[in-house]
Amino acid sequence: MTYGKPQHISEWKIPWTSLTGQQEDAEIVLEDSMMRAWSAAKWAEQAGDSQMLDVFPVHYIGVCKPREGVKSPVAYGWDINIKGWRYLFTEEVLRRFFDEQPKTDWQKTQEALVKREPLHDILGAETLFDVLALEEAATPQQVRAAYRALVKRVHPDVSDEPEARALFEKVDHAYRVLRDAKKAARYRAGLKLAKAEAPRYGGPFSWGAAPTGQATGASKYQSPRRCGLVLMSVVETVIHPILLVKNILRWGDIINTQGQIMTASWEWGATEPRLEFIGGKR
Amino acid sequence: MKELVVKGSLMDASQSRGVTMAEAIMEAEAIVLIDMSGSMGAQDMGGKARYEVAQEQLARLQGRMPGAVGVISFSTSPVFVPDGIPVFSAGSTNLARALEFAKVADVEGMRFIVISDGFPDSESLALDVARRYTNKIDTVFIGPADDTIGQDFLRQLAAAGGGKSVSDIRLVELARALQLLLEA
Repeated sequence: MTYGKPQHISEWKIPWTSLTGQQEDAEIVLEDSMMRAWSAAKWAEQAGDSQMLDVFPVHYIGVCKPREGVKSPVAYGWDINIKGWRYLFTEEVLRRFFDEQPKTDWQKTQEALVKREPLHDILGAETLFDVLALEEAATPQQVRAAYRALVKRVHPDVSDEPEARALFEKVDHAYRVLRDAKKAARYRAGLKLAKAEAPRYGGPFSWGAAPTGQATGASKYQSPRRCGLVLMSVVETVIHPILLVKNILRWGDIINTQGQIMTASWEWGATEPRLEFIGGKR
Repeated sequence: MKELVVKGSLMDASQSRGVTMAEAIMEAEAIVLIDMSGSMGAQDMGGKARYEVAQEQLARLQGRMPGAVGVISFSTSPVFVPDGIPVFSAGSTNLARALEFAKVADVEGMRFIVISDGFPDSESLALDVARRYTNKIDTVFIGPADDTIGQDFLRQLAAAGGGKSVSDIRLVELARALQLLLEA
């Protein structure tokens, strides 16, 4: 469940029941700052063309764990509206928001290119987007800019890189596919289907496995156990209704009209998180 | 042990062209969703099961149109099969889920063909998903000729997906029928 853009600030209210599942005569009023951040992000089109930018209710985020078929540790996020896991957070996304505010890959690449820092691993890149050090939602303009910047470093006529020809061929190939919006869309579709191949062997993208499926390795990072109305850019995955979170832009705590803050905990053996309002006057 | 890969399948195309699977899918023209539910196990194809003949026919199609056809098999769950060999899993017929799964490939220029003997777990859900497709969904019925219920559903599905429905073919002619649909 997402919430449509309000026409007026006074409409930016969310029924209590949609957040808590409880029948109470109250409403949550979202902070004006959240709405402003959302509007600004929408205007700036930070989400990219294949991503959805919206405010989503997140009630609990589990522990990041390495899971079969996924490159980096991931944690699932619970949505009480559907009484199930709905969001997939990579550790990188959570740390980026909660622990630090690092520059985007795009910014880092641009700076590295300007500073003549060592190139990213072009020959070992998994996807064509990785070759150009772009995110999957990159626009044709970003593709062109990345290509121009990289060609100055890898073109065999000017490059002093030892594998310049191979690097250039890889960069040029990625550019020829991704500069065409239609081809890029087909390539993104290919990436999604190709990722769906792994699930045959029971990975977390499997249709048959619950998102909480057995993780391998020890527990790792866990973000603060806050419930929130969260401004995020997400993309759909092949597992309905799981959304892959690409970026967290702003986190709004859920505070009721008594000033209490919603928190979540997951008791051993429970099938859903326990929500509780703490603090405040009540 | 040598991995079994159908000639002309996406995996074969990926390996022979030296490109990633995502790039091979990018060049595909169509996605075939093939029903591998329990009813496909019926041994009414001259001593062979329906699914076995469907596997042979799909392999023939992929050989004729190398790299052009992606295969998704479905029963209770959908499975993307880049090696071109659909897996018979004898489950239910969750077509809605399969269509939802394949929707990621619903990008400009892609075609979809559903091959089934009908009777999905939920007709209404499957039709709802089909209506959300931007590209056409053609259907091919592969069941007993007197099964009008299954044929009617696949006609409805094709109508919901804006495509054509083929129902008067024998399973042994499946590859030819699919090729005609794709070349239409």
